[in-house]
Amino acid sequence: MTELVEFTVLGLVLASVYAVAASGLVVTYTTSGIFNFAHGAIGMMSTFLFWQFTVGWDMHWALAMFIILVGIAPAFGWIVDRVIMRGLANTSEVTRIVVPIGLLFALLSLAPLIWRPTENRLVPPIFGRQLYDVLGINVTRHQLVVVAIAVVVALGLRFLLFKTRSGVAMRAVVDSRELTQLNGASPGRSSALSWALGSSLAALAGILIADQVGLEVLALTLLVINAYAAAVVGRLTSLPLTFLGAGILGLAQSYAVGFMPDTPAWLAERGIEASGALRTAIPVVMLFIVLLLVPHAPLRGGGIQRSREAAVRPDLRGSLIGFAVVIGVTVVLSGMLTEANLVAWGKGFAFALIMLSLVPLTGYGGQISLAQLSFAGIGAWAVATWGTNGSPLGLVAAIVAAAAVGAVIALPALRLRGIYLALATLAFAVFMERAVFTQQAVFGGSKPVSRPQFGPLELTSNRAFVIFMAVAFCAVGMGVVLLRRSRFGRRLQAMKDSPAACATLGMSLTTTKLMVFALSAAIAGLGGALLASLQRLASPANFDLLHALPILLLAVAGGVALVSGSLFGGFMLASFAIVPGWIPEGWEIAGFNARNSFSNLLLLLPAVLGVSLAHNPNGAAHEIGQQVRGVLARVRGATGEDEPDMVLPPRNVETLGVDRPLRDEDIAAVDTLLGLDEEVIGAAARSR
Amino acid sequence: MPLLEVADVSVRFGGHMAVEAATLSADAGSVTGLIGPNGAGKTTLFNVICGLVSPVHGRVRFDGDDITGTSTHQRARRGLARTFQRLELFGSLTVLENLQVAAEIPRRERRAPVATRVDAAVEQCGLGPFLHRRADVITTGQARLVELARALVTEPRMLLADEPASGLDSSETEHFGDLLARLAADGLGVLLVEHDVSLVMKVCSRISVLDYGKVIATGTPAEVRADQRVVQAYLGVPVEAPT
Ligand SMILES: Nc1ncnc2c1ncn2[C@@H]1O[C@H](COP(=O)(O)OP(=O)(O)OP(=O)(O)O)[C@@H](O)[C@H]1O
Ligand SMILES: [Mg+2]
Repeated sequence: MTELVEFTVLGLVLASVYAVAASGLVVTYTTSGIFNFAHGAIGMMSTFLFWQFTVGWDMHWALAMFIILVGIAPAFGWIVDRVIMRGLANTSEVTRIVVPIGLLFALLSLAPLIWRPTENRLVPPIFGRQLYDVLGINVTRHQLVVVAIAVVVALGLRFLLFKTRSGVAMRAVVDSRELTQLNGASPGRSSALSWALGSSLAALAGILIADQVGLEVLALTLLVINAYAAAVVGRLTSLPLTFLGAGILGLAQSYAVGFMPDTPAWLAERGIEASGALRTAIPVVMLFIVLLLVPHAPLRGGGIQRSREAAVRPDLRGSLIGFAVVIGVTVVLSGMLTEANLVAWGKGFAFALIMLSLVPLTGYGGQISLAQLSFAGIGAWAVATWGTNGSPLGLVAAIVAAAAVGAVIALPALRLRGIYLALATLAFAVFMERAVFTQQAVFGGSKPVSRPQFGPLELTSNRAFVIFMAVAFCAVGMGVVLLRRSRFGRRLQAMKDSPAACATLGMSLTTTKLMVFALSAAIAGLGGALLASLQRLASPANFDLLHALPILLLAVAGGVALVSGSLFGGFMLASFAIVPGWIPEGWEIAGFNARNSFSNLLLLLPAVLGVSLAHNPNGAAHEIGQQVRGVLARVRGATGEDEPDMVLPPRNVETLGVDRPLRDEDIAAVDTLLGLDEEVIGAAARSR
Repeated sequence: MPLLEVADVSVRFGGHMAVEAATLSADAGSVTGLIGPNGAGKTTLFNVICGLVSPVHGRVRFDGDDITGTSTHQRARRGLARTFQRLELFGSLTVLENLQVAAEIPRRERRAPVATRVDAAVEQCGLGPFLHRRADVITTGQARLVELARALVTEPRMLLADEPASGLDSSETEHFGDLLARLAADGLGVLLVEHDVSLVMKVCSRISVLDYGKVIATGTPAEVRADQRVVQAYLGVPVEAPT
């Protein structure tokens, strides 16, 4: 009995922290429409700052808390909204998901640069360890205060949102941006306010829990990510339900620690540690289940999407030339590179393949997935298991296994869209990382992999294998280019543009999504298998969340609708392993190891690219292509020639504040207003 | 028996009844009009018929079968097609590809080859001049024609057209009316929502009038025009609920 009370109290304390974190998430999402994936990372940074102030610089905790919660965190949130998130108007759902993920990754790479991870840091429980007797068990003062703070936050938010002018304006923005504008309030200001408030709440949650999880970048960040489940219980909009979700989650985790039976012997013998895995995976399992229970979002027509993203139809001849160049360069260069750089070159193709898996899925089909690297992990596992003695069956098994898991995971996720789909795939990825890949029975630490052998064709030398990888990438890449020009490719593009129209024309969205998820998982699985074969080792360390984030960031930053985009992203990621090697070992700059610091700095690049998507949503490959075309045109002396994928300025209904289809007069008015050249759009938009 | 029957359908959005106990029907081979002031619930009713919105009450029957619980794409496969008031073209595809996607969606019954159906629709709707343009850069009038053509390539038996003439100029509208009449003469059933009253009066054989979610009148164009409640609904004078 006392045990039950004990774990209930512990659960409630945890629940309180989740509630504070999740409510911040909900406030930001409802007001600004952007799900802040960086919420946990903001909490983590704030907690490190708190350590710096109190332990590092001996500041009183109350003053430190005041400075962070009222000054630094809200200022950071405000700036993030003004500088980054504001640029997300008229971009696709994918961009709106990727940019905050870029911010998350930026903070994750920045923190260890400032606070070296080798040092041991402790944050003492702020409110003291003094014990109180509650219902016959001992509770520390810190724990009591944490619960009290959650209650205060709940009441405070209620008061703010319903009783103050700013709060009412924030709620109004949720209902209608245009109406808010008409009433004289500024939706931009409300959105910035919500980011400030959200960041402050993230900081508070981090500081409150720091004494329990310790100061560790990933642990602190993931802890707040656990709060996603609570926020989804509130469907990202309802605060009372979010608090309920936090309660359930906190208690479930605490009871699991207290009362879940140990792994039964017959499983443990087979190298499966079920109960520990389940314990750590409870938040993501709950997130997944809750997502499946979210009611169907109706397909609603929203008019033609005039997003800023251009959809490029790859041109066949250009692609063929490109692939030939890739293979040619690889053949020549592979004879000159050192073995280490050769392996890095090969990794570029493996990463590029994994990113390529996002082209049909996200670039064409508009579906988002954060789980591609998990499919790659499955591929690596399959090739290690079935590819023994160089059997090419290993690669086949990797493709099939990844496709099968992709289809199975897509099945429940089919009804989800946008942010909910992103969260479901994230839950799956974290589940694989925490509960599956760590099992002794799966990778068992790491598994040796033998390279495939095709009859007399030996791929044992690094050079041969890297050339093989180049060919494999180009073959799959060509397939993806052809796919875009095929029936299925048109179908995917149509599904991305208007799911409602697809359904009313008789297309089964379920089948289409299932097929593209399986296809994309298969490509990622092949990428993972080749990566493992290249390294002759399959290890879960290659497939965790920290590696998954730059995959998505660079794929989208490279240009997620383009095969060349994935090549760009893949090689950029691989170069991070080479470039720091040019710095001599042992160099120190201001007491930091130069080489380590530089590789950390490089990791900021995907983040910066991800965040910059807010300003250039088409990705780098597209941009480079445009530049090259421009130069070519100038060389040929042609001026202003017909640009095949010219991006028209956004003519979104929302931006004009008219609630009807745009007429030609509207378009003309806007064109005049923007001072757009008759030549440029006149012909396109007003041919009558 | 009418091809499409909507029986006693009600739709609720939060506390607001967008459609209330609406009953109407549409026959094959003729154009049926559905008119009413802004916000009357016409588009919502279309969404119910094609399965994008679930009614809280009532049934939808197509060709005698109850299709109320079936999914949107299954209804389409039975021969129900629609166009959208707020255009739903596939903006990143060309006009031609828009039609191809629609024509390629598999059906159980045998149909003419994709190219044949696409060519026919291009011809009928006059899409030739802008066939290879991207669908998000054409004018609203052109886009309306593309939506119509895209629905036609699926070879529907019943077409729901939601304000297909808004954005067209008067000669285009006239042209459009003739096209609808011709399609109906070939056996297609059309349910037409339109604010251009003269077009409605010209092509419709029967008209239902919706106001505040309720069907307040049904009849021939002449009957509807003479109906006092209809006139009041359009003039904005509050009406007593019909007994
Ligand atoms: N998804 C929705 N959520 C809430 N209310 C809605 C929704 N869709 C429509 N409504 C409301 O239902 C009512 C009927 O709308 P509907 O679009 O069906 O009218 P309509 O007759 O098509 O009008 P119009 O002639 O302007 O197109 C309106 O009051 C509208 O605001
Ligand atoms: Mg309407």
